[in-house]
Formats: sequence, C-alpha cells, structure tokens
Amino acid sequence: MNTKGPRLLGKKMALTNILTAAAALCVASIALIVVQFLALRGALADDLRVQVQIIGNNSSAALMFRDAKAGEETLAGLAVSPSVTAASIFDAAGNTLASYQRNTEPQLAPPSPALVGTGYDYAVDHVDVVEAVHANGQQIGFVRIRATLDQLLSRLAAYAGLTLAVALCSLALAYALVSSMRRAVRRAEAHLHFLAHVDAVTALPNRHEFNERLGFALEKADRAETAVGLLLLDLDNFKVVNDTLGHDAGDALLKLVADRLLQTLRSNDIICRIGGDEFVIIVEPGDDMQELDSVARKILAALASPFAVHGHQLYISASIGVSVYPRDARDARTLTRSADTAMYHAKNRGKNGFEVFQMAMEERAQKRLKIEANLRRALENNELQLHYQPQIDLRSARVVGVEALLRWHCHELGHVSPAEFIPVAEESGIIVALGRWVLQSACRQAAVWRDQGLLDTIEHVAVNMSARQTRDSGLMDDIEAILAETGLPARLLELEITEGVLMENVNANIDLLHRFQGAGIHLSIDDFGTGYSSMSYLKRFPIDQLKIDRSFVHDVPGDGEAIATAIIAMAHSLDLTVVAEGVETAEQLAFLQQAGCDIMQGFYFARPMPVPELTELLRQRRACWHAEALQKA
Amino acid sequence: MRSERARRLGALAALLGALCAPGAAQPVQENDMKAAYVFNFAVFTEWPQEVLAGGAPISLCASAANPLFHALSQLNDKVVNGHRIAVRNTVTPVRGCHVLVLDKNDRERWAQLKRELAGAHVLTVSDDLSISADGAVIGLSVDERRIAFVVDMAAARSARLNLSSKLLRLARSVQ
Repeated sequence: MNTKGPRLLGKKMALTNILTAAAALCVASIALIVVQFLALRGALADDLRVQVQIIGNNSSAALMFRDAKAGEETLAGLAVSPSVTAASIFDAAGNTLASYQRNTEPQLAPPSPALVGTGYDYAVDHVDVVEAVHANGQQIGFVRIRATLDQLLSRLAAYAGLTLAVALCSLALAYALVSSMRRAVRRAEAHLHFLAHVDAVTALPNRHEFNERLGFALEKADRAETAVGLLLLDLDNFKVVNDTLGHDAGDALLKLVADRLLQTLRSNDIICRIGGDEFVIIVEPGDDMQELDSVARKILAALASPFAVHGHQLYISASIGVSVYPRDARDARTLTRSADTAMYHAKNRGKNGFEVFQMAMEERAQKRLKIEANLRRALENNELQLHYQPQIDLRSARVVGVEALLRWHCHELGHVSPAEFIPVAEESGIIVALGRWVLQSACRQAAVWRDQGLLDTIEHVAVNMSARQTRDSGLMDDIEAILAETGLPARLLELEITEGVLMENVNANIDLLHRFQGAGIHLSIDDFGTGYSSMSYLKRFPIDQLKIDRSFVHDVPGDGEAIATAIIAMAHSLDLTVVAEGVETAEQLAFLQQAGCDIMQGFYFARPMPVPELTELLRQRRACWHAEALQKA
Repeated sequence: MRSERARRLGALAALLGALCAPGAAQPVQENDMKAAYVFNFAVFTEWPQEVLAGGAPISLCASAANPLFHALSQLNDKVVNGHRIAVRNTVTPVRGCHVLVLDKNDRERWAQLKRELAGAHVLTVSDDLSISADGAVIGLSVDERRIAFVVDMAAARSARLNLSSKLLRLARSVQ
C-alpha cells in the first residue's frame, strides 16, 4: 500500500542519474569536439604554413623579375591541396603579382601589416596564412594563402556525429543496465517485503504487517470518528493436530483455515496470522456490535465443517475474543490484549465460542497477572505452606490418610485461594517448580511424622499432581530422589491425578502410572465423574482408588445419590477403594456410609490444618478418630 | 645604411612594377629594365668562393660604348647578396670581371674574349643574338615588348657558375 511512493522515487532517481550522466557526457563530448576542432585547425594551419613557405621561397625569382606567369605556375601547385581556395603573391608595395582561385572564389586582398606580423588569421570559415618573401636580404613581397574550413568542419561534423552516436549508445547501455539493476533491486525489495510482511504458511499478512495495518486502521478511525473491531481467533486443540499428525499437517490445516476465513469474510476485512494458531480479523468500521457478533458467528459456522488434511477428516473449533477501538482500548497494543483476554474467556467457557471484551475481564486478567508475578516470588519468599486434611476410614473410624493441600498467603495480595492461583501456575509453567516443592515438603513432613511414630496407623500421605507435572519427563526421577532423600517408603506416598488430566493423553499416562505402581506408589483418581473416562481405560489404569468429585457429594442426599451409588458400586467391582471428599454434613456421611463408601474427607471431620495442629491431633487421638463423629450419624 | 638600401630597392621595385603595368603613365626605358635584369641575374648567381670572397665587391664590366652602360652604371654601389657592385667601363681584362655585359658592338672581339674567358668565372650577359647563341651564359632578348632571357648551361658550367633553379625556371629556354 505504501510501496508506490518509494518506487516512484526510485524511478525519478534513476531518470535523474541518467540525465546527469547525459549532461556530463554532453559536456565531455562538446569539450572533445572543441579540442578536436582546435587540433584540426592547428594542423591545417601548420600545413598551410609549410606550403606558404615553399611557395614564398619558390616565388622570389618571379617577384624579382615580375614574372606573373612564373608566379601563377608556382601557385598552381596548390591545386592539389583541396582545402586551399585562394592564394596570391604580392610585391612589397602590395600589388598583386599572381593569384590563384579555386572555382569562383574572390581574389585575395594584400595582407594588412598586422597579418604579416602574426603570419596567420583564423576566421569563422577559413584560415589565412601569410609569408613574407625575401631575396637578396630584402623583403620583396608576400604570399597569402586562404584555406576553407569546410572540409575540416565536415570532418568535425562526422566526428561529432560519431561522438553523439557513441554517447547515445553508451547512454542506452547504461540505461538498460540501470533499469535491469533497478528491476533486480525492486524484485529483491518486493521479496524482502513479502518475507517481512507475509506469513509463509498461510500467505496471510503476518504479525508485523498486522501491527502496521492495525495502526493505520486506528488512525483512520480517529479521523473519521468511527470504531475498529478486532477479532482474535485461536484454534482449539490445534496442538493435538500438530502433536499427533505432525507439523506438516498442522501447517496444511492452518492454510485451509486461512482459506476458509478468506472465503467467509468480506474483502475489506483484514485477516492476519499473528503466530501459532492465532488469527486476527480487523473489521472496519466496528461501530455495529451486532455486526461484530455476526462476523464471529460466521467464522465459527465456517470452521464447523471438517477439514481434509493428509487423508484425515479434522474437526477443529475456535475461540474468538472481540474488542472494539476506542471503546475497549486507546491503543493498538491494549486493543490486541483486550481481544486476547476475551478470547481466553471464550476458551475457559468451553471453547468453540466467542466473547466480547468487558472491563471486568481486564480486571480479572490484571489480577491474574498480579498473581502470576507474585507467585513467581512466592517460593523464594516462603509464602507457601502445606495444610493437611485427614481422611477417615468409615469402618475403623481412624485417620488412614492425609491429603496435602497448598496454601498461599501472599504478603501483597493476602490469602489467595488455590482455585485462583493453581490455574495461573498451570498456564505460566510455575506449577512444575510448585509441584516439586509440594512433593518435597509433603514427603519431608511425612518422614518427620513417621520418625515420631505418628504414622503408624496412616496408610497414605496424598499429593496432587497437575497436568503439567505429568508431562514433565523428569517427574519420576524427581519422586525417586525425594523418596531416597527423605527415606519415606514409597507405599506411604499417594499421588492424586484428576480424571481430566489422565484422559488428556491416555497412552503416555498409562505408561507413567505403571512406573508409579512399579515403584510402589499408591495411585488415586481425583475428581472422578467429571471427566470422560472410558470404562476400558479404567480397567487398564493401574490405580488403587477413586475419589468421588465433591459436586456429587454435595448433592447427596438428593440428585447426586444415583451417581455416587453407581461410582461406589463400580469401584468396588473393580477392586478400588472409594473416597468421598467434601463431606460437610451428617446427612451426607450417613448416605455415603450406607452406600458403602470406604473413606471420607471433609469439613464435617476436619478442615485442612497446618502442620503443628495436625501433629497435635495425631498425637492426641493416637490416630484413632473418636467415635462421637460416627455416632452422630 | 639599411634605410638607404630599402629606398634603393623601393626604387627598383617601382621600376619593375612599372614594367608590369602596361598602362603606366611613364614609359620606362628598355635599357633600364635590362639593367635591372642584369642585377637580378647577379642575385641568383653563385660565384666560387675563390673569385668572390665574402664582402668582396662584384665587378660589373661593360664597354662604355654599350647602350646599356648608362643604365648599368646606375647599379654601382648596389648590394647583391652582401657584395657591393662596382661598375667598370671596360670589358678587359675579362678576368677581373664578375659580370660581363656585351652587346652587338662586342661581336668582333667576342672570339678573343671567349678565349680569355676560358676557365674564368664570369657571368656573361649578352644583349646580342649572335653572341647569345655563341657561348654567352645568359642571352637577353625582347619578345612582344617583354624582356626574356635564355640560359646556356654549358657555358655556365664551364664558367663554374651556379645559377639558381629559380632563375632557370624563368628562362625562356635553357640549353
């Protein structure tokens, strides 16, 4: 769009260069011609002077004897010199003794004393040379010869013509060279421009170009007092395609998505790929919110039908965030961030949808950023703490396990709930360090308790695994190192993995679980009933325990009854123990006890508590839960 | 000296100029023209060094009876190639002469003179056809009111005189 200016400028520059060269060549040519003219004329004058000397020498006797005939014979010799047009012999008094004229040239006049002094005279069209004739020591006359410059000028004209032709040829050659060079430069520039501004995979404008165009659109909107709509589109689960079918397939899919977007959208909407699986659409003008909605819906509808990639039929959805300038942001960066924030909301609300940016999102996003920033320092600042919640065996009424739960008291934000900071930690990757710390702290604490003899009745200390941790290839080594360091028997450690995480990458996880089991570690599926477990997988997973999700527990007695009962029955038939978490009321306890649940955990029994409190509890009760609690039911 | 010479030369040129202008106001004497020719012959003639050393005068001999004598005596003291002309009114002894002007009055003693001239370096100028045809170096004649001359190269060679080719070119004939 802004390449026309430099191109015109380039053309002008090239033309100026050529004109300058032409002017220089012209000046040089003229100088050459002038020099050539002077040289030729000088040579002619020298020739004439030789001739006039010979004539002068030969005509002394003719002058002495006043023999005009002899004089004319002498002069007749000049006929062979083609440039000589006239010649005369004069006596000392200036009378003509003899003369010679070619064709109808006029007879020469006697030379003036000045001409005799200098010996030659240049006129526009001829050269005169004069030689005094001496004899017997006296000056007895003059010879004057006039030569025309016609031949010289015609030779000069031929020379000038040749010079001109050579100059024109060299100019034409130079112009051709310059043009071809300019074409090459322009091609290179265009290619560079293409590389710098176009995404190679989809042939859409890239992030760099997007920034320029967005800036341009915002300026235009400012002038016209209109709005600009920005749609940020992120493909859902694109990573899965890349990981399972390879990057070629991923690229092919991106190209197909780009093509479909181009087909779907109006030609004046600007579509760019700004990286990975992220696309943006600039909609101008963006004043009509309904139109932005309809654009988003159109995109989602267009992406709904499957894509044929390398023989696979791929279903892909997208999450779209919408922001509007100047309503949501005052600059391009913030506008893009707003759309990004809205897009994340769309993703969190279950993907394949779109969200329009609202200020509240920004606030939440800000808080998220703040949490992330503080979380990075939390480990160093010792702001993290583990609380432990007892798990009670219903049959023996004893504490058989404790679940380590992470607590964070930020000195800036105060108490932050795990529900808030764990997703942030997941996304930012801090979870890996955090998870390692939790595992280490829990194992060390368990080892301390064990040394104090407080764990005699306790079967497991449970630690939660995040999705990110399960993908960490060093996880198993870490666990083994920690167990070795603390001396804690592996059987005392229980790892809780949510059903969702487990189902994300079944094959890899089965492998991991087998390695855990092989090491003697107890395994438990957390939040069971919320994911999409396949019964066959359940059989294949080497697990020991299921934890009914607290949402089902919350709904008993009542709606949750059927599910809770079913899970318990199924777990028992698979030889798994069942834990109900989030037990808060006596009614819940009664129902679950009735249904055959093995172990319970919840506020009804005990809140998660800090180490000294739990230590005290373990010591007092000798790990035996007093009967009252159970009897209450 | 120089200006005087220029003046004299000017006079000679005027004389010759008049010769070339048939319609000139003053008719010029044929004898004066012939005398001028004699002077010019001397200009285009080279004598051996031993008979005419540098700066030595040129002796111009003619008998006082010669009709040209008066005109020739006007040449006295004129300078030819650096040699002053000394006019002598006798033709003997011929060996003392550089230029010897003869006319028909000298026919009788020409045979005698010719013998004396053998081996002498004398430029003989004859105004008589028979002498001209009989061994004079240069013979003058008048042809259609114009003065012409012929050159006898054999005589010039035997007198060991070197006549300029410029002069020879003007001669009506060279033998």
